[in-house]
Amino acid sequence: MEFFDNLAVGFGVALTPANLGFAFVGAMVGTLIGVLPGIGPIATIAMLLPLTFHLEPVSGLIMLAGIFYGAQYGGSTTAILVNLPGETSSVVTCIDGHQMARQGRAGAALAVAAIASFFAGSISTALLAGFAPPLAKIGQSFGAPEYFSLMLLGLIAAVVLAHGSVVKAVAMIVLGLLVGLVGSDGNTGGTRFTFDIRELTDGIDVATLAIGLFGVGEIIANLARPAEERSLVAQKITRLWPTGDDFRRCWPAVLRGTALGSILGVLPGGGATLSSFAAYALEKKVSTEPSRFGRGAVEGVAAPESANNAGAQTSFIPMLTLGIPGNAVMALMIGALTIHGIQPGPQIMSERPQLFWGMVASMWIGNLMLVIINLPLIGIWVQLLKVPYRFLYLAILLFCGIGVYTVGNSAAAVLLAAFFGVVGFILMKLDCEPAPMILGFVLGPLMEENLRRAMKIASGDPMIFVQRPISLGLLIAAALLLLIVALPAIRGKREEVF
Amino acid sequence: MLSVTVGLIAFALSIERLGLVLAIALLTGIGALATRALRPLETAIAGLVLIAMSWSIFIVGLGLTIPIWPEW
Repeated sequence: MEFFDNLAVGFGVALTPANLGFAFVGAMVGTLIGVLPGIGPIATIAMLLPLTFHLEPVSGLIMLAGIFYGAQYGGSTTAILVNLPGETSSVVTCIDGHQMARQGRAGAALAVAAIASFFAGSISTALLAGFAPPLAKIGQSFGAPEYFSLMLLGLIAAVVLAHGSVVKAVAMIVLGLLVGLVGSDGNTGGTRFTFDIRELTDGIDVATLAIGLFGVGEIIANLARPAEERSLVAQKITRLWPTGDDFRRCWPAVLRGTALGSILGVLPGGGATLSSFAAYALEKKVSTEPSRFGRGAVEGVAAPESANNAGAQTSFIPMLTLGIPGNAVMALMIGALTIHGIQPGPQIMSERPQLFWGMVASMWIGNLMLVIINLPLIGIWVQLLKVPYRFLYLAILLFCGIGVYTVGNSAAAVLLAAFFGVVGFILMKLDCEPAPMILGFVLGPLMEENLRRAMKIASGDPMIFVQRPISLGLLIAAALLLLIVALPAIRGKREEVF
Repeated sequence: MLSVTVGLIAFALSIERLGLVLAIALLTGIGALATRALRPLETAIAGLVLIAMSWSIFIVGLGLTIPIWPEW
Protein backbone atom coordinates (compact mmCIF):
# COMPACT_ATOMS: atom_id res chain seq x y z
CA MET A 1 0.00 0.00 0.00
CA GLU A 2 1.26 3.40 -0.96
CA PHE A 3 -0.08 4.97 2.22
CA PHE A 4 2.03 2.75 4.45
CA ASP A 5 5.09 3.23 2.26
CA ASN A 6 4.65 6.94 2.73
CA LEU A 7 4.26 6.61 6.46
CA ALA A 8 7.40 4.48 6.56
CA VAL A 9 9.27 7.23 4.72
CA GLY A 10 7.88 9.72 7.21
CA PHE A 11 8.91 7.78 10.28
CA GLY A 12 12.29 7.22 8.67
CA VAL A 13 12.75 10.98 8.51
CA ALA A 14 11.17 11.78 11.86
CA LEU A 15 13.05 9.12 13.80
CA THR A 16 16.55 10.29 12.91
CA PRO A 17 18.25 11.48 16.11
CA ALA A 18 18.46 15.07 14.88
CA ASN A 19 14.79 15.32 13.99
CA LEU A 20 13.73 13.58 17.19
CA GLY A 21 15.77 16.21 18.97
CA PHE A 22 14.09 19.07 17.10
CA ALA A 23 10.64 17.62 17.76
CA PHE A 24 11.58 17.46 21.45
CA VAL A 25 12.92 21.01 21.50
CA GLY A 26 9.77 22.21 19.77
CA ALA A 27 7.52 20.36 22.21
CA MET A 28 9.48 21.70 25.19
CA VAL A 29 9.50 25.29 23.97
CA GLY A 30 5.83 24.97 23.08
CA THR A 31 4.96 23.73 26.56
CA LEU A 32 7.08 26.47 28.10
CA ILE A 33 5.40 29.31 26.28
CA GLY A 34 2.06 27.56 26.67
CA VAL A 35 2.48 27.54 30.42
CA LEU A 36 3.64 31.15 30.57
CA PRO A 37 0.86 33.64 30.06
CA GLY A 38 1.91 36.67 28.08
CA ILE A 39 3.73 34.95 25.28
CA GLY A 40 1.99 32.91 22.65
CA PRO A 41 2.90 30.56 19.82
CA ILE A 42 2.60 33.24 17.12
CA ALA A 43 5.26 35.47 18.69
CA THR A 44 7.52 32.53 19.53
CA ILE A 45 7.35 30.97 16.08
CA ALA A 46 8.01 34.38 14.55
CA MET A 47 11.08 34.82 16.78
CA LEU A 48 12.49 31.41 15.90
CA LEU A 49 11.63 31.67 12.21
CA PRO A 50 14.91 33.31 11.20
CA LEU A 51 16.86 30.63 13.06
CA THR A 52 15.31 27.82 11.03
CA PHE A 53 17.23 29.16 8.06
CA HIS A 54 20.26 27.44 9.53
CA LEU A 55 18.47 24.10 9.76
CA GLU A 56 17.26 21.54 7.24
CA PRO A 57 13.78 22.63 6.08
CA VAL A 58 12.12 19.53 7.52
CA SER A 59 13.84 19.93 10.90
CA GLY A 60 12.83 23.57 11.08
CA LEU A 61 9.20 22.78 10.32
CA ILE A 62 9.16 19.90 12.79
CA MET A 63 10.37 22.24 15.50
CA LEU A 64 7.95 25.06 14.66
CA ALA A 65 5.03 22.65 14.45
CA GLY A 66 6.02 21.23 17.84
CA ILE A 67 5.84 24.71 19.34
CA PHE A 68 2.35 25.21 17.98
CA TYR A 69 0.78 22.01 19.29
CA GLY A 70 2.98 21.97 22.39
CA ALA A 71 1.48 25.32 23.35
CA GLN A 72 -1.98 23.73 23.28
CA TYR A 73 -0.85 21.25 25.94
CA GLY A 74 0.97 23.77 28.09
CA GLY A 75 -1.81 26.33 27.97
CA SER A 76 -4.16 24.03 29.81
CA THR A 77 -1.77 23.63 32.76
CA THR A 78 -1.91 27.33 33.57
CA ALA A 79 -5.63 27.43 32.94
CA ILE A 80 -6.28 24.64 35.44
CA LEU A 81 -3.82 25.62 38.15
CA VAL A 82 -3.87 29.41 38.03
CA ASN A 83 -7.18 30.21 36.39
CA LEU A 84 -5.30 32.24 33.81
CA PRO A 85 -5.29 31.03 30.24
CA GLY A 86 -1.70 30.32 29.19
CA GLU A 87 -2.97 30.61 25.61
CA THR A 88 -6.14 32.02 24.10
CA SER A 89 -7.06 28.48 23.07
CA SER A 90 -7.34 27.44 26.70
CA VAL A 91 -9.57 30.30 27.85
CA VAL A 92 -12.57 28.03 28.25
CA THR A 93 -10.53 25.35 30.00
CA CYS A 94 -10.21 27.80 32.90
CA ILE A 95 -13.90 27.66 33.62
CA ASP A 96 -14.22 24.04 34.69
CA GLY A 97 -10.55 23.13 34.96
CA HIS A 98 -9.83 25.61 37.71
CA GLN A 99 -12.96 24.61 39.57
CA MET A 100 -11.76 21.00 39.51
CA ALA A 101 -8.41 22.16 40.91
CA ARG A 102 -10.18 24.04 43.70
CA GLN A 103 -12.01 20.86 44.61
CA GLY A 104 -8.66 19.15 45.01
CA ARG A 105 -8.88 17.38 41.68
CA ALA A 106 -6.12 19.29 39.89
CA GLY A 107 -4.28 16.08 39.05
CA ALA A 108 -7.32 14.52 37.43
CA ALA A 109 -8.02 17.70 35.45
CA LEU A 110 -4.43 17.84 34.16
CA ALA A 111 -4.49 14.16 33.25
CA VAL A 112 -7.82 14.46 31.43
CA ALA A 113 -6.51 17.49 29.53
CA ALA A 114 -3.32 15.67 28.50
CA ILE A 115 -5.03 12.41 27.56
CA ALA A 116 -7.78 14.21 25.65
CA SER A 117 -5.14 16.24 23.81
CA PHE A 118 -3.13 13.14 22.95
CA PHE A 119 -6.16 11.24 21.70
CA ALA A 120 -7.29 14.19 19.58
CA GLY A 121 -3.76 14.75 18.32
CA SER A 122 -3.40 11.14 17.18
CA ILE A 123 -6.76 11.08 15.40
CA SER A 124 -6.26 14.42 13.67
CA THR A 125 -2.73 13.52 12.59
CA ALA A 126 -4.20 10.40 10.98
CA LEU A 127 -6.80 12.61 9.29
CA LEU A 128 -4.03 14.85 8.01
CA ALA A 129 -2.19 11.82 6.60
CA GLY A 130 -5.37 10.46 5.03
CA PHE A 131 -6.93 13.58 3.56
CA ALA A 132 -3.91 15.56 2.48
CA PRO A 133 -2.90 13.45 -0.57
CA PRO A 134 -6.32 13.53 -2.30
CA LEU A 135 -6.66 17.23 -1.51
CA ALA A 136 -3.26 17.94 -3.00
CA LYS A 137 -4.38 16.08 -6.17
CA ILE A 138 -7.37 18.38 -6.41
CA GLY A 139 -5.11 21.33 -5.71
CA GLN A 140 -2.88 20.44 -8.62
CA SER A 141 -5.75 20.97 -11.04
CA PHE A 142 -6.25 24.51 -9.70
CA GLY A 143 -5.28 27.42 -11.89
CA ALA A 144 -4.91 31.07 -10.98
CA PRO A 145 -8.66 31.85 -11.03
CA GLU A 146 -9.44 28.93 -8.70
CA TYR A 147 -6.72 30.01 -6.30
CA PHE A 148 -7.97 33.55 -6.23
CA SER A 149 -11.53 32.44 -5.50
CA LEU A 150 -10.32 30.00 -2.86
CA MET A 151 -8.36 32.71 -1.06
CA LEU A 152 -11.32 35.06 -1.25
CA LEU A 153 -13.43 32.34 0.35
CA GLY A 154 -10.71 31.90 2.94
CA LEU A 155 -10.65 35.55 3.92
CA ILE A 156 -14.43 35.73 4.13
CA ALA A 157 -14.53 32.58 6.23
CA ALA A 158 -11.87 34.08 8.48
CA VAL A 159 -14.13 37.09 9.04
CA VAL A 160 -17.18 34.95 9.74
CA LEU A 161 -15.34 32.71 12.19
CA ALA A 162 -13.32 35.46 13.84
CA HIS A 163 -13.63 36.10 17.51
CA GLY A 164 -15.77 39.11 18.36
CA SER A 165 -17.10 41.83 16.11
CA VAL A 166 -17.40 41.21 12.35
CA VAL A 167 -16.66 44.83 11.47
CA LYS A 168 -13.42 44.75 13.45
CA ALA A 169 -12.37 41.48 11.82
CA VAL A 170 -12.96 42.98 8.37
CA ALA A 171 -10.95 46.05 9.37
CA MET A 172 -8.06 43.89 10.57
CA ILE A 173 -7.96 41.82 7.38
CA VAL A 174 -8.07 44.90 5.16
CA LEU A 175 -5.32 46.50 7.23
CA GLY A 176 -3.27 43.32 6.78
CA LEU A 177 -3.86 43.38 3.02
CA LEU A 178 -2.67 47.00 2.90
CA VAL A 179 0.48 46.33 4.92
CA GLY A 180 1.10 43.36 2.61
CA LEU A 181 1.18 45.73 -0.36
CA VAL A 182 4.10 47.73 1.02
CA GLY A 183 7.20 47.31 -1.11
CA SER A 184 7.92 46.80 -4.79
CA ASP A 185 5.19 45.82 -7.20
CA GLY A 186 6.12 42.35 -8.43
CA ASN A 187 5.20 43.02 -12.06
CA THR A 188 6.25 46.58 -12.74
CA GLY A 189 8.93 47.12 -10.10
CA GLY A 190 7.29 50.35 -9.02
CA THR A 191 7.22 51.04 -5.29
CA ARG A 192 4.01 51.18 -3.26
CA PHE A 193 3.37 52.71 0.16
CA THR A 194 7.08 53.00 0.85
CA PHE A 195 7.00 56.75 1.59
CA ASP A 196 10.45 56.90 -0.02
CA ILE A 197 11.94 54.92 2.85
CA ARG A 198 14.64 52.78 1.30
CA GLU A 199 14.26 49.99 3.86
CA LEU A 200 10.64 49.47 2.87
CA THR A 201 11.24 48.77 -0.83
CA ASP A 202 11.69 45.06 -0.19
CA GLY A 203 8.42 44.93 1.68
CA ILE A 204 7.85 43.96 5.28
CA ASP A 205 8.82 40.53 6.47
CA VAL A 206 6.08 38.47 8.06
CA ALA A 207 8.30 37.72 11.06
CA THR A 208 8.83 41.43 11.70
CA LEU A 209 5.12 42.11 11.62
CA ALA A 210 4.25 39.12 13.81
CA ILE A 211 6.94 39.80 16.41
CA GLY A 212 5.92 43.44 16.57
CA LEU A 213 2.19 42.82 16.86
CA PHE A 214 2.24 39.78 19.09
CA GLY A 215 5.60 39.87 20.87
CA VAL A 216 6.19 43.54 21.60
CA GLY A 217 2.51 44.50 21.60
CA GLU A 218 1.74 41.82 24.14
CA ILE A 219 4.55 42.99 26.45
CA ILE A 220 3.26 46.55 26.43
CA ALA A 221 -0.29 45.34 27.05
CA ASN A 222 0.79 43.13 29.96
CA LEU A 223 2.78 45.90 31.61
CA ALA A 224 -0.06 48.36 31.20
CA ARG A 225 -2.39 46.00 33.04
CA PRO A 226 -2.37 46.19 36.84
CA ALA A 227 -0.49 43.29 38.44
CA GLU A 228 -2.91 40.40 38.57
CA GLU A 229 -3.60 38.26 41.57
CA ARG A 230 -2.49 34.75 40.75
CA SER A 231 -4.49 32.24 42.68
CA LEU A 232 -2.08 29.38 42.22
CA VAL A 233 -3.48 26.18 43.59
CA ALA A 234 -0.69 25.46 46.00
CA GLN A 235 -1.46 22.03 47.30
CA LYS A 236 0.60 19.13 46.10
CA ILE A 237 -0.82 17.27 43.16
CA THR A 238 -1.17 13.78 44.49
CA ARG A 239 -3.67 11.87 42.41
CA LEU A 240 -2.98 12.11 38.71
CA TRP A 241 -5.20 9.31 37.52
CA PRO A 242 -8.84 10.28 36.89
CA THR A 243 -11.60 8.15 38.40
CA GLY A 244 -13.69 5.66 36.43
CA ASP A 245 -16.57 8.10 36.59
CA ASP A 246 -14.38 10.76 34.97
CA PHE A 247 -13.53 8.42 32.12
CA ARG A 248 -17.14 7.46 31.59
CA ARG A 249 -18.18 11.11 31.45
CA CYS A 250 -15.40 12.40 29.29
CA TRP A 251 -14.97 9.93 26.47
CA PRO A 252 -18.01 11.07 24.47
CA ALA A 253 -16.90 14.66 25.09
CA VAL A 254 -13.44 13.85 23.77
CA LEU A 255 -14.91 12.26 20.64
CA ARG A 256 -17.18 15.23 19.97
CA GLY A 257 -14.37 17.68 20.68
CA THR A 258 -12.00 15.85 18.34
CA ALA A 259 -14.57 15.77 15.53
CA LEU A 260 -15.51 19.42 15.92
CA GLY A 261 -11.91 20.56 16.27
CA SER A 262 -10.80 18.59 13.21
CA ILE A 263 -13.48 20.21 11.06
CA LEU A 264 -12.99 23.75 12.36
CA GLY A 265 -9.21 23.46 12.11
CA VAL A 266 -9.36 22.99 8.35
CA LEU A 267 -11.48 26.10 7.86
CA PRO A 268 -9.66 29.36 7.28
CA GLY A 269 -9.72 31.55 10.35
CA GLY A 270 -10.31 28.43 12.40
CA GLY A 271 -7.70 26.55 14.33
CA ALA A 272 -7.17 25.97 17.99
CA THR A 273 -8.93 28.91 19.65
CA LEU A 274 -12.19 28.76 17.77
CA SER A 275 -12.33 24.98 18.16
CA SER A 276 -12.07 25.09 21.93
CA PHE A 277 -14.81 27.72 22.31
CA ALA A 278 -17.14 25.87 19.97
CA ALA A 279 -16.50 22.51 21.66
CA TYR A 280 -17.31 23.93 25.09
CA ALA A 281 -20.53 25.46 23.80
CA LEU A 282 -21.48 22.17 22.15
CA GLU A 283 -20.82 20.14 25.31
CA LYS A 284 -22.99 22.45 27.35
CA LYS A 285 -25.77 22.08 24.82
CA VAL A 286 -25.79 18.28 24.58
CA SER A 287 -25.26 17.68 28.30
CA THR A 288 -28.20 16.28 30.25
CA GLU A 289 -27.18 18.33 33.29
CA PRO A 290 -25.86 21.64 31.93
CA SER A 291 -25.83 23.09 35.44
CA ARG A 292 -22.69 21.11 36.23
CA PHE A 293 -20.71 23.26 33.82
CA GLY A 294 -18.77 25.98 35.57
CA ARG A 295 -18.60 23.88 38.71
CA GLY A 296 -15.85 21.49 37.75
CA ALA A 297 -17.42 19.33 35.03
CA VAL A 298 -14.79 17.03 33.61
CA GLU A 299 -16.39 17.28 30.13
CA GLY A 300 -15.71 21.01 30.25
CA VAL A 301 -11.99 20.22 30.31
CA ALA A 302 -11.95 17.22 27.99
CA ALA A 303 -13.94 18.75 25.12
CA PRO A 304 -12.08 22.05 24.60
CA GLU A 305 -8.67 20.45 25.19
CA SER A 306 -9.27 17.74 22.59
CA ALA A 307 -10.78 20.30 20.21
CA ASN A 308 -7.92 22.78 20.39
CA ASN A 309 -5.34 20.12 19.74
CA ALA A 310 -7.33 18.60 16.87
CA GLY A 311 -7.83 22.05 15.40
CA ALA A 312 -4.13 22.84 15.70
CA GLN A 313 -3.17 19.70 13.76
CA THR A 314 -5.77 19.84 11.02
CA SER A 315 -5.04 23.49 10.29
CA PHE A 316 -1.90 22.15 8.64
CA ILE A 317 -4.03 20.49 5.93
CA PRO A 318 -4.79 23.55 3.77
CA MET A 319 -1.28 24.91 4.34
CA LEU A 320 0.50 21.74 3.24
CA THR A 321 -1.84 20.72 0.43
CA LEU A 322 -2.83 24.02 -1.16
CA GLY A 323 -0.20 26.37 0.18
CA ILE A 324 -2.90 28.52 1.74
CA PRO A 325 -2.59 29.47 5.40
CA GLY A 326 -5.75 29.22 7.47
CA ASN A 327 -4.47 31.16 10.47
CA ALA A 328 -1.59 33.32 11.61
CA VAL A 329 0.61 30.41 12.69
CA MET A 330 0.22 28.74 9.29
CA ALA A 331 1.07 32.05 7.65
CA LEU A 332 4.38 31.95 9.52
CA MET A 333 4.92 28.32 8.45
CA ILE A 334 4.58 29.50 4.86
CA GLY A 335 7.23 32.06 5.71
CA ALA A 336 9.48 29.27 7.00
CA LEU A 337 9.07 27.36 3.73
CA THR A 338 9.83 30.38 1.58
CA ILE A 339 12.99 31.14 3.62
CA HIS A 340 14.27 27.85 2.23
CA GLY A 341 13.09 28.66 -1.26
CA ILE A 342 10.31 26.08 -1.16
CA GLN A 343 7.22 27.20 -3.03
CA PRO A 344 4.23 26.26 -0.87
CA GLY A 345 1.50 24.48 -2.80
CA PRO A 346 0.14 21.11 -3.85
CA GLN A 347 3.44 20.12 -5.45
CA ILE A 348 5.14 19.84 -2.03
CA MET A 349 3.72 16.39 -1.45
CA SER A 350 4.91 14.91 -4.72
CA GLU A 351 8.20 16.80 -4.97
CA ARG A 352 9.23 16.62 -1.34
CA PRO A 353 7.61 13.55 0.19
CA GLN A 354 10.22 13.49 2.97
CA LEU A 355 9.20 16.94 4.09
CA PHE A 356 5.49 16.22 4.18
CA TRP A 357 5.51 12.71 5.60
CA GLY A 358 8.36 13.47 7.96
CA MET A 359 6.29 16.27 9.44
CA VAL A 360 3.19 14.11 9.78
CA ALA A 361 5.14 11.35 11.52
CA SER A 362 6.87 13.83 13.81
CA MET A 363 3.54 15.27 14.88
CA TRP A 364 2.44 11.95 16.25
CA ILE A 365 5.79 11.42 17.98
CA GLY A 366 5.66 14.97 19.31
CA ASN A 367 2.22 14.36 20.79
CA LEU A 368 3.50 11.29 22.55
CA MET A 369 6.45 13.28 23.92
CA LEU A 370 4.09 15.95 25.16
CA VAL A 371 2.10 13.55 27.32
CA ILE A 372 5.37 12.62 29.00
CA ILE A 373 6.57 16.22 29.22
CA ASN A 374 3.30 17.34 30.73
CA LEU A 375 2.24 14.67 33.19
CA PRO A 376 5.23 13.39 35.15
CA LEU A 377 7.08 16.68 34.86
CA ILE A 378 4.16 18.84 35.87
CA GLY A 379 6.00 20.00 39.01
CA ILE A 380 8.67 21.75 36.96
CA TRP A 381 6.12 23.73 35.00
CA VAL A 382 4.34 24.76 38.17
CA GLN A 383 7.64 26.09 39.55
CA LEU A 384 8.05 28.06 36.37
CA LEU A 385 4.80 29.87 36.98
CA LYS A 386 6.36 31.41 40.05
CA VAL A 387 8.92 33.35 37.98
CA PRO A 388 7.67 36.93 38.16
CA TYR A 389 6.72 38.61 34.91
CA ARG A 390 9.11 41.48 35.55
CA PHE A 391 12.03 39.18 34.72
CA LEU A 392 10.29 37.44 31.86
CA TYR A 393 9.37 40.49 29.88
CA LEU A 394 12.97 41.68 29.55
CA ALA A 395 13.98 38.30 28.15
CA ILE A 396 11.00 38.23 25.78
CA LEU A 397 11.75 41.77 24.63
CA LEU A 398 15.37 40.89 23.96
CA PHE A 399 14.47 37.75 21.99
CA CYS A 400 12.02 39.82 19.97
CA GLY A 401 14.84 42.24 19.16
CA ILE A 402 17.39 39.60 18.23
CA GLY A 403 14.78 37.58 16.33
CA VAL A 404 13.82 40.49 14.12
CA TYR A 405 17.41 41.56 13.65
CA THR A 406 18.51 38.15 12.40
CA VAL A 407 15.77 37.96 9.74
CA GLY A 408 17.85 40.10 7.45
CA ASN A 409 20.59 41.52 9.68
CA SER A 410 18.69 44.75 9.50
CA ALA A 411 18.40 47.24 12.33
CA ALA A 412 15.62 48.99 10.41
CA ALA A 413 13.47 45.88 10.80
CA VAL A 414 13.81 46.17 14.58
CA LEU A 415 12.59 49.77 14.43
CA LEU A 416 9.68 48.59 12.33
CA ALA A 417 8.89 45.90 14.90
CA ALA A 418 8.90 48.53 17.64
CA PHE A 419 6.42 50.52 15.57
CA PHE A 420 4.17 47.48 15.07
CA GLY A 421 4.43 46.80 18.78
CA VAL A 422 2.75 50.11 19.49
CA VAL A 423 0.21 49.38 16.74
CA GLY A 424 -0.46 45.97 18.28
CA PHE A 425 -0.98 47.50 21.70
CA ILE A 426 -3.44 50.05 20.35
CA LEU A 427 -5.32 47.31 18.48
CA MET A 428 -5.58 45.22 21.63
CA LYS A 429 -6.86 48.26 23.53
CA LEU A 430 -9.52 48.65 20.83
CA ASP A 431 -10.50 44.98 21.20
CA CYS A 432 -9.32 44.22 17.68
CA GLU A 433 -7.85 40.76 17.30
CA PRO A 434 -4.56 41.21 15.39
CA ALA A 435 -4.42 37.58 14.15
CA PRO A 436 -6.59 38.16 11.03
CA MET A 437 -4.21 40.98 10.10
CA ILE A 438 -1.35 38.48 9.66
CA LEU A 439 -3.65 36.33 7.54
CA GLY A 440 -4.52 39.27 5.30
CA PHE A 441 -0.87 40.25 5.16
CA VAL A 442 0.24 36.86 3.83
CA LEU A 443 -2.75 36.18 1.60
CA GLY A 444 -2.77 39.68 0.08
CA PRO A 445 0.26 39.35 -2.18
CA LEU A 446 -0.71 35.77 -3.11
CA MET A 447 -4.18 36.91 -4.08
CA GLU A 448 -2.84 39.79 -6.08
CA GLU A 449 -0.51 37.56 -8.03
CA ASN A 450 -3.25 35.07 -8.82
CA LEU A 451 -5.71 37.80 -9.73
CA ARG A 452 -3.24 39.29 -12.19
CA ARG A 453 -2.39 35.91 -13.64
CA ALA A 454 -6.06 35.04 -14.05
CA MET A 455 -6.71 38.35 -15.79
CA LYS A 456 -3.82 37.69 -18.12
CA ILE A 457 -5.14 34.24 -19.02
CA ALA A 458 -8.54 35.74 -19.76
CA SER A 459 -7.02 38.78 -21.46
CA GLY A 460 -8.70 41.08 -19.00
CA ASP A 461 -12.13 39.48 -18.86
CA PRO A 462 -13.29 39.12 -15.23
CA MET A 463 -15.91 36.58 -16.33
CA ILE A 464 -13.20 33.93 -16.07
CA PHE A 465 -13.95 33.65 -12.35
CA VAL A 466 -17.54 32.55 -12.95
CA GLN A 467 -16.94 30.52 -16.11
CA ARG A 468 -14.65 28.03 -14.41
CA PRO A 469 -16.84 25.62 -12.43
CA ILE A 470 -14.56 25.19 -9.39
CA SER A 471 -13.94 28.90 -9.13
CA LEU A 472 -17.67 29.59 -9.46
CA GLY A 473 -18.45 27.07 -6.73
CA LEU A 474 -15.95 28.69 -4.38
CA LEU A 475 -17.36 32.15 -5.07
CA ILE A 476 -20.90 30.91 -4.42
CA ALA A 477 -19.73 29.43 -1.13
CA ALA A 478 -18.16 32.79 -0.22
CA ALA A 479 -21.40 34.60 -1.08
CA LEU A 480 -23.42 32.14 1.01
CA LEU A 481 -21.12 32.71 3.97
CA LEU A 482 -21.62 36.45 3.69
CA LEU A 483 -25.36 35.95 3.53
CA ILE A 484 -25.24 33.79 6.63
CA VAL A 485 -23.52 36.46 8.71
CA ALA A 486 -26.03 39.00 7.51
CA LEU A 487 -29.02 36.94 8.69
CA PRO A 488 -30.14 38.24 12.07
CA ALA A 489 -30.98 34.80 13.55
CA ILE A 490 -27.53 33.41 12.88
CA ARG A 491 -25.91 36.62 14.01
CA GLY A 492 -27.47 36.16 17.43
CA LYS A 493 -26.18 32.59 17.60
CA ARG A 494 -22.73 33.71 16.57
CA GLU A 495 -22.55 36.27 19.33
CA GLU A 496 -23.62 33.61 21.79
CA VAL A 497 -20.83 31.22 20.81
CA PHE A 498 -18.00 33.71 20.60
CA MET B 1 4.65 51.48 27.01
CA LEU B 2 7.11 54.20 26.19
CA SER B 3 10.14 52.61 27.79
CA VAL B 4 9.54 49.19 26.17
CA THR B 5 9.37 50.85 22.77
CA VAL B 6 12.30 53.15 23.44
CA GLY B 7 14.33 50.22 24.78
CA LEU B 8 13.74 48.29 21.57
CA ILE B 9 14.56 51.33 19.44
CA ALA B 10 17.79 51.82 21.40
CA PHE B 11 18.62 48.16 20.75
CA ALA B 12 17.97 48.63 17.03
CA LEU B 13 20.18 51.70 16.78
CA SER B 14 23.03 50.29 18.85
CA ILE B 15 23.32 46.66 17.73
CA GLU B 16 25.35 47.39 14.60
CA ARG B 17 27.60 50.08 16.01
CA LEU B 18 27.97 49.17 19.66
CA GLY B 19 27.57 45.41 19.40
CA LEU B 20 25.39 42.87 21.14
CA VAL B 21 26.67 43.28 24.70
CA LEU B 22 26.10 47.03 24.97
CA ALA B 23 22.84 46.80 23.02
CA ILE B 24 21.44 44.29 25.52
CA ALA B 25 22.60 46.47 28.41
CA LEU B 26 20.75 49.43 26.87
CA LEU B 27 17.62 47.38 26.20
CA THR B 28 17.40 46.01 29.74
CA GLY B 29 18.32 49.34 31.31
CA ILE B 30 15.68 51.33 29.46
CA GLY B 31 13.17 48.50 29.31
CA ALA B 32 13.32 47.99 33.07
CA LEU B 33 11.94 51.49 33.62
CA ALA B 34 8.59 50.16 32.42
CA THR B 35 7.81 48.66 35.79
CA ARG B 36 8.51 49.99 39.23
CA ALA B 37 8.67 46.44 40.53
CA LEU B 38 12.23 45.92 39.23
CA ARG B 39 14.98 47.02 41.61
CA PRO B 40 18.26 48.35 40.13
CA LEU B 41 20.25 45.36 41.36
CA GLU B 42 17.73 42.95 39.86
CA THR B 43 17.93 44.80 36.58
CA ALA B 44 21.71 44.52 36.52
CA ILE B 45 21.59 40.80 37.24
CA ALA B 46 18.87 40.27 34.63
CA GLY B 47 21.00 42.15 32.11
CA LEU B 48 24.07 40.03 32.80
CA VAL B 49 22.09 36.79 32.61
CA LEU B 50 20.55 37.87 29.32
CA ILE B 51 23.93 38.80 27.86
CA ALA B 52 25.34 35.41 28.84
CA MET B 53 22.29 33.60 27.51
CA SER B 54 22.17 35.37 24.14
CA TRP B 55 25.88 35.00 23.68
CA SER B 56 25.78 31.26 24.28
CA ILE B 57 22.60 30.62 22.25
CA PHE B 58 23.03 32.91 19.29
CA ILE B 59 26.76 33.37 18.90
CA VAL B 60 28.18 30.07 20.15
CA GLY B 61 25.18 27.79 19.58
CA LEU B 62 23.89 29.05 16.26
CA GLY B 63 26.91 30.88 14.95
CA LEU B 64 25.02 34.01 13.93
CA THR B 65 27.08 36.88 12.66
CA ILE B 66 26.08 39.63 15.06
CA PRO B 67 28.72 42.13 16.15
CA ILE B 68 29.49 41.52 19.82
CA TRP B 69 31.69 44.46 20.81
CA PRO B 70 31.79 48.05 19.52
CA GLU B 71 33.89 48.63 16.42
CA TRP B 72 36.77 50.83 17.43
